[in-house]
Amino acid sequence: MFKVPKVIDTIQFGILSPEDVRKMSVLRVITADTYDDDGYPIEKGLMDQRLGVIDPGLKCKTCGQKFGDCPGHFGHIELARPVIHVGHAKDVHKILKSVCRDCGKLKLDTAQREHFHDQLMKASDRLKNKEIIVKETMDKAAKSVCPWCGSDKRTIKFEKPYTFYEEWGEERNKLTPIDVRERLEKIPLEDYELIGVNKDVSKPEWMVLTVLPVPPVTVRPSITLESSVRSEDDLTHKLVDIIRINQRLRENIDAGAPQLIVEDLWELLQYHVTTYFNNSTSGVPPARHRSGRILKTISQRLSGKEGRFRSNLSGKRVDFSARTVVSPDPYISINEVGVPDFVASELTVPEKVTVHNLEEMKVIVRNGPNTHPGANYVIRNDGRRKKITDTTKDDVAEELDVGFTVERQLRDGDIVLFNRQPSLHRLSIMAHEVRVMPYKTFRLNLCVCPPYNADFDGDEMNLHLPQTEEARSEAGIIMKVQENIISPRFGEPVIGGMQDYISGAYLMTRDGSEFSAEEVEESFYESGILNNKVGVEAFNERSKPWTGKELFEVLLPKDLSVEFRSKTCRKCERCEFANCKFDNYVVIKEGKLLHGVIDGAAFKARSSCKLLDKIVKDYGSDEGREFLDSVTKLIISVIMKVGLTTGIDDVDIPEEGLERIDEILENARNKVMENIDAYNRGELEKQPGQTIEDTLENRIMAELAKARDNAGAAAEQYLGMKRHAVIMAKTGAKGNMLDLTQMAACLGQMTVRGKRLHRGYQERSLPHFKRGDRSAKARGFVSSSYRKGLSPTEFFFHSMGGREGLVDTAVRTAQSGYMQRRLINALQDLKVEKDRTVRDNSNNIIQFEYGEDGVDPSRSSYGEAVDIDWIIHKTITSRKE
Amino acid sequence: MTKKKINILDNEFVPEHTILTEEESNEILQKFNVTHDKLPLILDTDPVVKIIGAKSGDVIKIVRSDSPAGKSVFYRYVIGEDIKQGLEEDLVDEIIEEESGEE
Repeated sequence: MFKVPKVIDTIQFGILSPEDVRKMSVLRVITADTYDDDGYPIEKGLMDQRLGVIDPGLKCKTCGQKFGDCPGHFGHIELARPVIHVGHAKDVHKILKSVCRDCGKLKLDTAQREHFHDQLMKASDRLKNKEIIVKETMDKAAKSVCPWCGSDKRTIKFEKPYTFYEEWGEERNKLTPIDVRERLEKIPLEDYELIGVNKDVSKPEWMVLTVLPVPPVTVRPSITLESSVRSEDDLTHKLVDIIRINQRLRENIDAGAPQLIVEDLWELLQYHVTTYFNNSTSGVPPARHRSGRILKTISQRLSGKEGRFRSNLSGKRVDFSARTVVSPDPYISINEVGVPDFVASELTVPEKVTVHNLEEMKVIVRNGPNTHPGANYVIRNDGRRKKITDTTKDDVAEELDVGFTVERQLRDGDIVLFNRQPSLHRLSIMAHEVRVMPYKTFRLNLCVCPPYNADFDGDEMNLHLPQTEEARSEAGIIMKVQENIISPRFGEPVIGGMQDYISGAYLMTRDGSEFSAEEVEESFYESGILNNKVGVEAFNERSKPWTGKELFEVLLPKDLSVEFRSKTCRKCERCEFANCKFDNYVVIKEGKLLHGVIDGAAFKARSSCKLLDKIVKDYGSDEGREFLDSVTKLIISVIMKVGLTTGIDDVDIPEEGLERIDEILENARNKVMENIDAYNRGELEKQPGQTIEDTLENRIMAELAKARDNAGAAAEQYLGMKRHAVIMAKTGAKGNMLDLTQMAACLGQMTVRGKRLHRGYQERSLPHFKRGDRSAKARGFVSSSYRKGLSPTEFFFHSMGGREGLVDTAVRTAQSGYMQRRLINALQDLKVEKDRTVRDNSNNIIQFEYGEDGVDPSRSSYGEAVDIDWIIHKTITSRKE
Repeated sequence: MTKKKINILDNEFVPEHTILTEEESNEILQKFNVTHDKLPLILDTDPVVKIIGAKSGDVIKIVRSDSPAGKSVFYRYVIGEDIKQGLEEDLVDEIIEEESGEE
């Protein structure tokens, strides 16, 4: 076990005093060099062996410990002249403003002091906390003249990042760090509290450095390259600079050099110390390495995405996790995840041996580390940890006893957390049951792709194994995939069918689709429905073929009733509801699919699907999971029998259709020319609020948009449900009719920033056109379809529009990522309390009722407690019967 | 042209604001088991607050009927400009620091 050298009890923040720095220092560093020519550390240099060890095999000259055990020891540098600590410059300014330049007292009289002191004692809540009162106190003091000695009023100007001036009238005097320090030293102890300084741990004058700690070499290890050239850490480089300038400054002072030279060197020392702390201080040119690279100094090590906090402390790498590529497996449940066997034999769960599982554990231990449901370690009653190997496994199994802990390998049914980055919402991490499988990828049911936003073009996902019983059961109860079918964001399923499941359901349940008893039996067998939901007897009794609707209703809960419009609904002017002649109104009554075709509107993920929503909300998540698992398997089986494919002939249009489209486009082009002519003749009427050019552009755009729509509509007449591409589009499986008409009829206008293409060359988009040509063709209108193929100019225009789309998505993800970060930072501690108020971590009320209505979208029907419309509908229809 | 004085309380988008009496506000604080500083804040320079004459330290009740939930009730604690400044400066500092840390 790792040895804890000291247990942290309290942490006290304060400012390091010069005495403290000297006290903790083991050495005053005076030489600016690191190693001599033999590669030996120079005495009293920055790499002095008393500062710690970074070479394996050597012993520390201070504590005598080996590399890895010695934590390193601080040294110090005595500064020839004091310098301002940049990190404190702002506070120094605030203090200087509020204290007297002569007597050093806070510029407040007794009564005022008393008043603020009282307030400070009473300070409690967020509206009157100490910080705010200290601020008020100092603001008040800064505005007054010293009531104690009455010295004249001079203002202190702070010039970022570390220069102070004193101004009175027209005159101006620079305050050196020595002056600043003197003033801070004069502040009496009684005033500390009022200027917000904790007198137990800090003094204001310590904000001006007289001595600089030198961090141990373990903090700034040098690295040896293959060529045995030593490369020093950035901090060491910076310290070398500081020591060198410090040395020169001291020599010059001692030699009685002119004031000007001393001041220049002093300023330089200030610069080096400043950049040593923070090399991205605004107003200070960053210190660079010889190669021109900007040095990474203390502040850079800590802050930002790659800093110690976000990268190493919040973003620690963890044990009991695995990452690999994901691939689909439609035959596992949505609750499951396929885990490769080699991953399963690496991940372990600690399991306590009891009288109840002793025998089981013995078997597992006996399997050893190399046979799958095995074990890797055993922790004995005396706390000793023992590795199980093939040679020791039988002995270990023999001595196994109650109270031991077996670190057994991951096996089927274990609960794990599964995650895909970016983890944008809570559904990005869900709990799955393990299914150990051969090969090297995690297997994922297709229905859970939408919440993870996963596909299988090389996506990798992470798996984490909870280590305690509490964690596992909590994950199993609230994070299980089946508990997350309904999104907490919009209260509708985010887990559900997609693509082939949707078109397959349509092919199966549309009117006229029939299946022979053999086919049905086969499908039921394949999808695990036979002998589960349907007995073999069902086939003995009937000889007539099954309709697809009969097949589907097998999977529905027996008393389910629901009605909804299918995705393929044509939105007729007068809806015939249950009598829809296009079979687009779904009626399910008492578990029977009486009417209507099943498609996207029934169970497609993220699309307000009605059927799945109803099943999950009315029958629970178990039923929902079972429905999804079985319906997807059945549909796969059916779609493989029916067949679904798409080819270029799906967007073929007969000759007369093409002529019609050409005619529409030709008319549009002519209309555009008419507009341009009118504009050239100056007859175009100006639209209010637009220039004449804008008017023309808008008219042309409208004309061409109309033409594309008409061409599309003309093409759509020929795109019937016989074409598989159309089935996919209309059922909501993949694509939409716009995509299809772009393939069949005409692409339409290409745009960049919402405008027709006009840039590239002088007054024209491409050299193929005349300057100033405003015709449809010259400004990026693509009359061709994908089916027909694009002309070279059209192809170029199309790529311009396409590029804008790519850039937009890249920019959008970056921006929304940052926005998400800010939002999460702002909202992360908000919590719904028992009284349904929303509060933050300091108990401030944010909302008096969660969401102002106290509704959890995932537990409501369309935002309400009950779906009142449906209840009324059900009552009326049952009355009629 | 003289500007016609408009009473903003007449505007349909301005929800109903009422000043709570000492008793009522204590009741509210008790109901939510909080001290006044835990309530959402509103400035005493807010146009509606000025019109209804609420003073720093009052608790006002706001009833919104345009919420997606129908009717929703909010309580706000009125604060003066001085407190706002103290609160805001911290906030601005925080944002600037974070922003410079980013990228």
